[in-house]
Amino acid sequence: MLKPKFLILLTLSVLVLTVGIASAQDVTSIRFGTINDPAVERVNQLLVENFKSLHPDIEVNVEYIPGADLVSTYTTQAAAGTLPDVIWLADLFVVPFAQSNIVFDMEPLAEADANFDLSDIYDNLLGLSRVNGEGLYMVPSSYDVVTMYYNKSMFEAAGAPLPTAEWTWADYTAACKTILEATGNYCFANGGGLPTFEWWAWVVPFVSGHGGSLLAEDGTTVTVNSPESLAGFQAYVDMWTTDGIAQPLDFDAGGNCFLVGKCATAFFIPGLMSALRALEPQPFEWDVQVVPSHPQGKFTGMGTYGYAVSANAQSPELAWEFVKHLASADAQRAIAANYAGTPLLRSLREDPAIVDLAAPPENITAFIENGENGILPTYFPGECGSLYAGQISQEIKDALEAAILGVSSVEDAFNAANENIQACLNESAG
Amino acid sequence: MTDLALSRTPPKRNPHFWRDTLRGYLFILPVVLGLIIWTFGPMLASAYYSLTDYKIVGEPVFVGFKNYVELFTRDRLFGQSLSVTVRYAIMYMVIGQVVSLMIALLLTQRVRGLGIFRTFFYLPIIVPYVASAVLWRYLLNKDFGPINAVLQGLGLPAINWLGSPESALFSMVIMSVWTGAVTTIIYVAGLQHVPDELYDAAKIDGASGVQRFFSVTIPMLSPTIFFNVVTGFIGSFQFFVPAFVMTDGGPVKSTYFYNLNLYEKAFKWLEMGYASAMAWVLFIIILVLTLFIFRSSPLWVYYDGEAQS
Repeated sequence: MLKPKFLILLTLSVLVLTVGIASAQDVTSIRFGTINDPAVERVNQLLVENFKSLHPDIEVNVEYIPGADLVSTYTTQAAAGTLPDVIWLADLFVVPFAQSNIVFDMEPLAEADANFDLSDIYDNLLGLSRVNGEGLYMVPSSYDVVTMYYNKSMFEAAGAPLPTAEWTWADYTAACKTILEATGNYCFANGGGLPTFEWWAWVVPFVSGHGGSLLAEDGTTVTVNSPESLAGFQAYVDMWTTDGIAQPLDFDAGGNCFLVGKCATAFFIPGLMSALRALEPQPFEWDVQVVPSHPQGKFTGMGTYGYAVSANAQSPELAWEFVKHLASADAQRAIAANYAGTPLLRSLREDPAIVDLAAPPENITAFIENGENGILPTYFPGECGSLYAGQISQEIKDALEAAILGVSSVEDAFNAANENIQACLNESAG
Repeated sequence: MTDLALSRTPPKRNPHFWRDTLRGYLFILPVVLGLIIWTFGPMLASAYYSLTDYKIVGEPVFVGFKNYVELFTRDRLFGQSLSVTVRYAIMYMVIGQVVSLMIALLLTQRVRGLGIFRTFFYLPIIVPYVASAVLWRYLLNKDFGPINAVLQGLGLPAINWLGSPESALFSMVIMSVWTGAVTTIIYVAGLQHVPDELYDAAKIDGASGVQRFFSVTIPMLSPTIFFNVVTGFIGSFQFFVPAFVMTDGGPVKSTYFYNLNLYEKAFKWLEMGYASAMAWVLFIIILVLTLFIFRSSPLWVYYDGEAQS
C-alpha cells in the first residue's frame, strides 16, 4: 500500500517532468557544422549574426569540424541521421555529398523564395553547386575563378614584361624563362599550401584550351588520350620538363612558393588576396591578371566553398533562411571588403564598394573579367570517382606525375589512364 | 617432519572461493568487455562488410567475394602497394635489426656516461610519430636539408632523398631505423642476460671476439631476435604515418604503402567494404608470415635449458 504522501510526490514529479519536456520542445535551435579554419570564420560569423537578428529566439549551435575529418564526420553523421541542420562544404564535395544524401536539394526552396534570385548568380559558378547541371546542393560563397597573381617586383627586377589581359601561354613562358635566368626563381607555384600539380582547375583548362576533353559528348567514352587532350597535357607537363618554369614537385619553398617570394606567379582563387594583404610589411608588390590564352582561347578552373541545408535538417525552411544570406548583397559586400572573395552576383559587378576597394590588387576587376573563362569539372557517371577523388583522379594524377618526373611519356601515361578509366566506366555501367 | 605432515594434509577448499572468483571476474570485466565490444565486434563487422558494397551512408549491399576478386584481379594499386610494403619490410628487417643490435652492443659496453648514451638513443621513442616524420622531411630535404649539407661538405653529391622514386623508400627505412629504439632497448635487455661465464669459458678456449659474438652472443640472443623479428615484421606491414606525412605515397607511388592504400580507399574514396577486404587480406598475410616465423624458430632459436629437456 503506497503512502498518500509518496503518491502526491510522485504525481508532482511526473507533472514537473512533463512540463519540463514540453517547454524544451518549444525551444528551437539550429545546428551549424563548419570547418575550423580562420579563412572562413568571418563568413561563419556573418551568417550566424544575420540569422540571430532574424530569429533572436532561436539558438545557433556551431559545431567545428577539423578540415581533414570533414568527410568522415559528415558521412558517419549522415549514416546515424545526426547531421547538423546547416553544413559547410566545398565544390569538391557537392557531387559525392548529393549522391550520398548528405545535402538537401535547395533548388525548390530557392525558387519558392521571393527574396532570393538564383538567376543573379553567375551560371558557371552555380554549376559547381549542381550535379551534372541539376539541383542546388550548395550556396557558393564567392565568384571563385582561378586567376593569375603575379609578383610585380620580381617581374620588374628580372626585366620581364608585366602580364596583360592579351597574354598567351607562350608570352607567359617567355617571361618566366627570363625570370628563371635572371633570378633563379620559378614561375608556376604549386604545393606548399597551394593545390598540388594535379588540381583539375589547372590541368583541365590546358586540355580544353587545346581543343581536348576528358570525356566525349556521349558521356561514356573517355578521351584523355585523344590528340587534342594529349596536346593539352603535354603543354601543361612542359612547364616542368621542357621549360623548367614550374616549381618542381620536390622543391620545398618553406611554405607557399608565391607568398614566400620564390615563385613569380600563383594561379588561385580570390581568397589568396587576404593572405597576401596580411603580410606585414608587404614583402613585394603584386597584382592580378586574367589567365593567358591557349590556342583555343582562355580557359580556367573554379573552386569555392559554400553552405548547404543538410538532409537531416529538422526544418529545411529555417536552415535555408540561414544559408541563403550568403548570397545576399550585404554578405557579398562584406566578403569582398575582407578580400576573402569576389561577389557572385551579377548585380554587384560594377558595385563601387567592390571595384573601388583599396589596392593591392590594383586590377581587382580581373577576378570578375576572368569569370567568363571559368569552366566546370567534367562530370563522370558511375562509381569511378571524379576529378577530386576516387579512381579517376588517381589515374590522372598518376599519369601526370609519371610524365612530369620523366618516368613515362605523356602519351604512354595517358594511354594507360584512358584504358583504366574506360574499363572502370564500362564495368560501372554494367 | 612438520613440513611433510603439512604437505600430506588435503587442501581445504577456500570458503570464499565463489566470492573471490566473482571479484576476479569483475576486475577483468572492463577489459573483457572492451575487447569484445571494441576489438572483436569491429573485427567481425569488418569481416561482414568485406563481403559487401558499403559506403557508410546507406545500407551495405551483399556482394559475396567480389571485393576480394577485384583486389587480386583488377586493382593495380593493390599489387603495387603490397610490393612497396614487402620491399620496405625486407629492407627494414635486415638493416633495422643489424643496426639496432650494433647499437645495443655499444650500449652494453662498460664506458663512462653509459646512461646518457642510452637516454640519447631512447629519445626518438618519446617524439610523436608525426613530429618525427615532419623532422625527417626537413632533414632529408633536397635543397636545404642538413643531411645533404653534410654530404656536400664532404664533397659528395646531394641526394634527392624523398623526391626520387629510387631513393624515397630507402629514406623511409632510414627514418624507421632511427625511430626503432624499442628494438635496441630489447636487445640491450637480452644482451644483459647472456651469462658472463659463457664468455669466460669461450675466452679460455681461445675464441676471438668475433667467434664469441657468433657462437655465444647470437645463440643466446636468438629468443630476443625472434621476438624482434616477429614484432618488426608485423610493424612493417602496418607502416603508415611517415608515408602519409612525408610523401603521401609518392613520388610515382614509390612509397605507396599497403596501409596508405587502405586508408585512401576507406576515408577518401569511402569504399568501406573494399577497404575491409583489404584489411582482412593484410591480416591473413601477417598471420601466415608470423606462423611461418614461429614454425621456423626451432631451426634458429635457442632457449636456455632446452638441451637438458
